[in-house]
Amino acid sequence: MADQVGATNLRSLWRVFRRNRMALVGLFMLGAMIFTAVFAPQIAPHDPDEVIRISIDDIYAKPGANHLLGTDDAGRDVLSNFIYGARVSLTVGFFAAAISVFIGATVGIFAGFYGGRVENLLMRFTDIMLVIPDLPLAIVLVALTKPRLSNIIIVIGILGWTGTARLIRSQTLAVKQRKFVLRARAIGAGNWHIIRRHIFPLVLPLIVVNTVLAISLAILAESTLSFIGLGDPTTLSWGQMLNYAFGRGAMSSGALWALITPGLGIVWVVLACTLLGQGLEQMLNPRTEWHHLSVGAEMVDREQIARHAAMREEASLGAAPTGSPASG
Amino acid sequence: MSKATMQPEPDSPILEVTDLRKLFPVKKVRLFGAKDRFVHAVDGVSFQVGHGEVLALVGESGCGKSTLALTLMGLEKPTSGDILFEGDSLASQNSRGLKTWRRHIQMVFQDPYESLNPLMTIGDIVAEPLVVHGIAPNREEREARVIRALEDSGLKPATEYLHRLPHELSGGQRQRVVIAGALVLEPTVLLADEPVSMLDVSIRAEILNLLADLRQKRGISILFITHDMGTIAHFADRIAVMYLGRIVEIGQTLEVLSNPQHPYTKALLSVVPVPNPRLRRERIILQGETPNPIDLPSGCRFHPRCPVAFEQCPVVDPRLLSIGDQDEIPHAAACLLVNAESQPVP
Amino acid sequence: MINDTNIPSTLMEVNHLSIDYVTPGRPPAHAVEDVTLTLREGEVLGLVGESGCGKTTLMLSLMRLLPAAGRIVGGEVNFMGTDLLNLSETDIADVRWKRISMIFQGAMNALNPVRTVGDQISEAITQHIPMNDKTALDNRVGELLDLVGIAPHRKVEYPHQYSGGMRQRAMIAMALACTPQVVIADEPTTALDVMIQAQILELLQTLQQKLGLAIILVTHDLGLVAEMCDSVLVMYGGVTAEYSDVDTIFNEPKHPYTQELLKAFPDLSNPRETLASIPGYPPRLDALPPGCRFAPRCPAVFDRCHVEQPDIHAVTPTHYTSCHLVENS
Repeated sequence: MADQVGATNLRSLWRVFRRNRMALVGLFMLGAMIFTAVFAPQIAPHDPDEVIRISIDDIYAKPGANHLLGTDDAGRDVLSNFIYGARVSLTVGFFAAAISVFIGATVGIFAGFYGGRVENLLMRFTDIMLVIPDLPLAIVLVALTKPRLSNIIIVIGILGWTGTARLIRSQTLAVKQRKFVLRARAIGAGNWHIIRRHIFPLVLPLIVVNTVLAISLAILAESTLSFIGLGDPTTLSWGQMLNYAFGRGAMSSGALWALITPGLGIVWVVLACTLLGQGLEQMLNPRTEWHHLSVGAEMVDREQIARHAAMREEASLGAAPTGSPASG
Repeated sequence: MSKATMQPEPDSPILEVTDLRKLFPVKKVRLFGAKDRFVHAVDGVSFQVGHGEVLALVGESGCGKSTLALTLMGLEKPTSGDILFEGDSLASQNSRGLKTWRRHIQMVFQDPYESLNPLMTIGDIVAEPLVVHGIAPNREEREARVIRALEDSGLKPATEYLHRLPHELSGGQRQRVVIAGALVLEPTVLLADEPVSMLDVSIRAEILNLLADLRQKRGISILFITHDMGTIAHFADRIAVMYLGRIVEIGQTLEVLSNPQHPYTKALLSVVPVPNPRLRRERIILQGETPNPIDLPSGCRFHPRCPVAFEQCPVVDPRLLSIGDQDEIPHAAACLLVNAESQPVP
Repeated sequence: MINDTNIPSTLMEVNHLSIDYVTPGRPPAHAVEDVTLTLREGEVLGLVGESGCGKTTLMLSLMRLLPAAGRIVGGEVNFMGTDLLNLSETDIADVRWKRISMIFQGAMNALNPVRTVGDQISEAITQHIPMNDKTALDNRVGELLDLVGIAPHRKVEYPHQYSGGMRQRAMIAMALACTPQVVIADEPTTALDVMIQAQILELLQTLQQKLGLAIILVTHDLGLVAEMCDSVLVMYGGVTAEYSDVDTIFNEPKHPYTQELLKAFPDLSNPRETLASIPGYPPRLDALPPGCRFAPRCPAVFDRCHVEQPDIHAVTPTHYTSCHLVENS
């Protein structure tokens, strides 16, 4: 059952990861977009803030040598807007996902670990949050606060954690059942120690997967809010590009590039996150892949795993470590 | 149990369990006046463990032996009865006292594949008890202790194992790690819950010998919980046989093995496979399975499965009474056939 | 057992069977090498060895159920006149379950929790034998349950209503569904309580006598072997260590591994102070020692053992062992 004897955790993880083509593609897609966002000033052909004099020809200009993807209603370069927009969308995605996963994981771990009344309270609260429709509430909250980017991030963050909480809770429940937690109790360890050393490291992979998926959800949510006009007017996200193009006659002018470009950006990132997230999930899920980081492998189907292990041992991928000293 | 049945050991016992009971309430849908129902996991168990003694607790799953172990560790609160460790009562411990309690009594679990955190290195696993109890805060000293515990558990040289992960070790090695993790606190009592049942035969012997060794060298008392008479015959001083939450027979190992009194003990012994085809013998195979500990049979709990039950058995609940000579280490059994005098006068 | 004439006819002959596991980029692992055995009608053969000794691989190969990486690199499995290894996939499917069936390790957890036990047993029948008559099928299921000691009316219950022992019985019923001649039982009693274990063994013995079954009992428990088996094949590191009738194996073992294994087994009838243990670990099958595979752990090892792999020698016509000491004597 040890197909990575002696290898470090990370390296063995990478070896498994490399075999998953879907995850690799997702990682590459996401990496490319992050690169674009980080090096936007170097990549973008035009500065979005540059003051331009526009003539009527510059509005919704067709893609050409000067404007590779044409211009928008204000005569700005769509490609440059798109590149800078990646910064906004990804920022919202990462920060909002971080907030929602943080809340979700905390609620999930505490509910799962303590059980009883704590669990009841936390999970009923989660259920309430779950049944409130996110989008109307987000609209209300954003409308009530100032439409600043930070507010949007917070609103998306505090509305998106329920799924994570439920998932992490069930995983915590499963980990809590395992014998090494009982062993930790038997040596006198307290709750905090057990959560920190035994529960958290084992739910961490799930948290990572969830974060990746949460990023795509947050980007979608931000785009939705911006598209209906609740975005931060001082920044230009992909959602806002869509909003402007849609509201200012891109369709009727036949300037499809102003609509398709930001749309493709959203699809690109969401697809990247989904692929990466699913790939990671597959990799860490004991049902589909064998890795010792696959949390709770043994809980899923002890017998099947035992057979699996026996098989591997038969194949001698490591019953006993080589060169280990005789003991006894 | 009456005083007469359990003579105290020559020296005072390290662990003394008196009339211990642990009931778990069963969740019920309460209609009109539904009675509370309980799982009688441990139901009136008394025994003592002497210094450096190995007491084997034998019984099938559902007999309450694992609950008993958890209760002894203070991980389950007894419903009634008490446990004394060197004269200290478990019932009177506060949370700090309980922590000290768990330092002196350590546990080795059945499944070495499950009882190690897969993400922690062997060194961290064995050091964990020290960290939890704040012993040897100094790094070098801690490592020295971890190395000593690993080597005492037969993992030599210990430095080879410190940075490995559990999945890199074989089952036998993992169980040694579990034992090292218990030894590092230098406990005086070790509770071993089926420590070898998941291991290969050749490895089993090694682990059993290791435990026997620890008893000899360190004078650790061991409470060895198992369902297999065969494994403990070699090194237990005494055997206590449990059925449905009670001890039905207790006595010196050789005495119980050669002269079992309770029909349940007799049956258990008869089904232990003998590794010699020339000694194939009649097995007493009890039909059915242990009844669930919620609806206990009336009278003697064993009577529905007992091959020699008679009309008194469903009526009278036999007490654990001593057989024969009183001044030896007592051999006691709870069976009407053995202790006719335990029948109450009608 | 092997050359006697007054003994029932041979059912299965495994001749010089070798199986490798191939992993790209690694040397092949020799999981089974040159194993020869004979199974007669109604015989109970014990296959003994520690985990990773190749015993499960050997059994899976008899039903051609090897995992994808497994390759049969030599030998034959002669079953009632046909070589199973040369059969087409459809033909072997016809042999599986109808002629040779298997009780898997930990099988009591292999039942589908949302379907009744009876349903799952009838499926095991209809998968192999088309049966349109519903009543006949129902009767057959009831008959099978009765055979393994479960009241037939319980066929409508779900696995969770069964105890562990009963689930194992249901799995045995499933293995018997198509009246096979050979049943391979892979650790049929591990994880069961001693008393349930005894019940299951008794059941297997009764079935063996009643139905004339040949059973291959794969186990690491020498006690079971002594109680149940007629002949024993001891495997170590993928090769035959010793093969003989049960009495010889337990009372006149010639291979040091068998001898050590017996010493390590707790014996209630003969309690010793300490149990002997075999130091070290079984070899990895992809990094086998150059000579005898047991040499690194053998108490009687000498120079030749480290360089030359011993052949299988016949001590008597019914007793085979692969040890240089035997050849020398």
